Amino acid sequence: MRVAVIGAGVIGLSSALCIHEQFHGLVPSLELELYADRFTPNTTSDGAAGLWQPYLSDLGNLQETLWNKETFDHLLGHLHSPAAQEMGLFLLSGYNLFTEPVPDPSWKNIVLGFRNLTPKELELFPGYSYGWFNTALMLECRSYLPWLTNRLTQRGVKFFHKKVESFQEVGGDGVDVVINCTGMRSGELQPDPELQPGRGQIIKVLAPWVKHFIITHNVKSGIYRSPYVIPGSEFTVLGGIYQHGNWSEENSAQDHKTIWESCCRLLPALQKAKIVSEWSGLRPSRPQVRLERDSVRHGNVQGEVIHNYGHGGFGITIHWGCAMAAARLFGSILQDRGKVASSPQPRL
Amino acid sequence: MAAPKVAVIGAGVIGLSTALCIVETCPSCSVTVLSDQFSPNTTSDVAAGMLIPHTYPGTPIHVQKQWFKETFTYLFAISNSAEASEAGIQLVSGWQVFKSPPKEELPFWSDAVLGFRSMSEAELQKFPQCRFGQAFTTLKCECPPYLLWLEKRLKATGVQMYNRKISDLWELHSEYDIIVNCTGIGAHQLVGDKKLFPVRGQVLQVYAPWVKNFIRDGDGLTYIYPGIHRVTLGGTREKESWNLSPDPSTTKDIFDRCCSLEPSLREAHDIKVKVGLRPSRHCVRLQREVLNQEGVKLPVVHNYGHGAGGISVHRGTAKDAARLVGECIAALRGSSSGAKL
Repeated sequence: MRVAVIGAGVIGLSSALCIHEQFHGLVPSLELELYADRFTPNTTSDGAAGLWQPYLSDLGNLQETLWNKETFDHLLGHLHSPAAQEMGLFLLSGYNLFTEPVPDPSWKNIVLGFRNLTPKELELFPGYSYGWFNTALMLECRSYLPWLTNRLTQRGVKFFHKKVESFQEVGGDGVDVVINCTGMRSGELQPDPELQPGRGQIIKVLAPWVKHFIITHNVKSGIYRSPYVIPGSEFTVLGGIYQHGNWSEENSAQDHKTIWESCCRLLPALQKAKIVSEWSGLRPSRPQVRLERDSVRHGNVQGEVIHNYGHGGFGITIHWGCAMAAARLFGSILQDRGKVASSPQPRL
Repeated sequence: MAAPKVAVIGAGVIGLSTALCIVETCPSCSVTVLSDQFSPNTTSDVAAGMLIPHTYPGTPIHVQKQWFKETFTYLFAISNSAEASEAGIQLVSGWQVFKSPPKEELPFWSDAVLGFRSMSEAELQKFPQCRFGQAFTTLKCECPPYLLWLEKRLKATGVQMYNRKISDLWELHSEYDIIVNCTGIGAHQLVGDKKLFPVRGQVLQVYAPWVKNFIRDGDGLTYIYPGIHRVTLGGTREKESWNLSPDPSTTKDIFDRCCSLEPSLREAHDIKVKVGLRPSRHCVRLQREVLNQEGVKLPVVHNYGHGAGGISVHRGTAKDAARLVGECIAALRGSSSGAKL
């Protein structure tokens, strides 16, 4: 049985791993292939700082909150494993800052030690009168994606460096199921007006004295339109840009100025930080994640597709929960085809 | 007396911060720093510099609290400014963990640090051997950067610094009006203080940049303190040991203890080993004294014996020492026949 995963960002690689881990024992003929035109370090995931943190409100989308929790718990379980450092996984504490009181987020009990900021702590951040402190996780994709790739390679998954132009291109060739993890460019495979770019730009600096993430919020403007500082294992990421509908992957001088000035105002010591690089990327934004089965016609044959895209600015945060859900959908495809027995009743 | 000439002996965190406080409170003073060691070779340079006070049995708690609060407030302002990285001041959060609940539920400094609270059950799961813990945010004052920053500020005010070993305070009586003794462990020999004793500490400085939180065993013996470039792993408390050479079996023991608190440290590399002798005393010696030799008087202000807590209280004790220097000056001016022949 041949399964083609399209996309080698955090979603594609983790979906491939989840499916292989769960089903290669049940389906001896399972052959997994991964197609992508961009691999680490050139995927959208690679540009992200890697902080586990969902948006402020889940907009009533309990499913996404559960997937976020699944991801956090899964990563926390790996924290003390020998692989943690290789995965780019570590704990990071920090601050979320507001100019007015806000309701607690859906993820307050998922992270560790969530609490409100004390008045003395708020003195550190003039202009902000309310905030949270908590300990979360960092998962740096420049380490995590290679780690996932190694796990997949060890399992015999084959990689193809190729831009896939249509589902038919991979689907028709004896491939039974296609897993669509193409992120921003899903629309090229199947039009989806709900999928829109949320353009971001970041500046990477050397500021090793920064030990906390600091994320400011402007509730009126929206998520990621206010400065943030996220220290990684080597570089610190400065950001605060979210432009809906902007497809440009070029760095903008105006955005550079916005990020630099607002982050230096937030943390004056950053003025002494050395700038290492700058990057722009497109968050694959959607009102909700598209994670569902679909069928696509290849000539006379109906092909199965599992969509797993539209994770906006929280792909790393939600990836494992979605990968597990994609694997469950894959399992349901297998059941429908009689490839595995559904439990507890036997199929007629 | 026109411009009182003050000699500060010692260029660790106590000597340099005391010199700076004297300059700030007595602008007419001419201050000189004399020391046989400067950064990076002082005891302060070995310390991780975490603002977590040590308790001195012989000093009233309200005094220690005042010293700590003064120091914390001073460094907090620097951490908030553009100079934070140059001065080596960072904000760090983390956990203090206990295998069994501590004797005192709240340390005296719990309201001086930020966000002090008990750890949640979920947080404690990270430390399977620990039943209780406290989480808080404090400051880390890293030497050498901090000492270099103090030296820079001192030089900007005209303070001269000389590499000189003083064997006897009387060596200085003809050149200086007031001596400020910030010699740390050196006071054992310099002023013959037998109540001062070394507590040897060995630390490892490792490269593990993914460690962003501090972790400390409540007994204070095992700790992981992330600094600007390196993480300090500790430690030891060996009373009366004057041995400044790193001990390899101690290195292994420290490393193992720290790895059991933070398993990812197994991947740490480039281990540097350092040793420092904490200048320990029942209480910090912060007092005025007038030495007398054949009718010649020499005012001395002592500021030493900070043991394991020097960096945590340095600014508070420096301010008190500067106040004592002020009293010495007033006494000298008040004495009509002049202080010295």
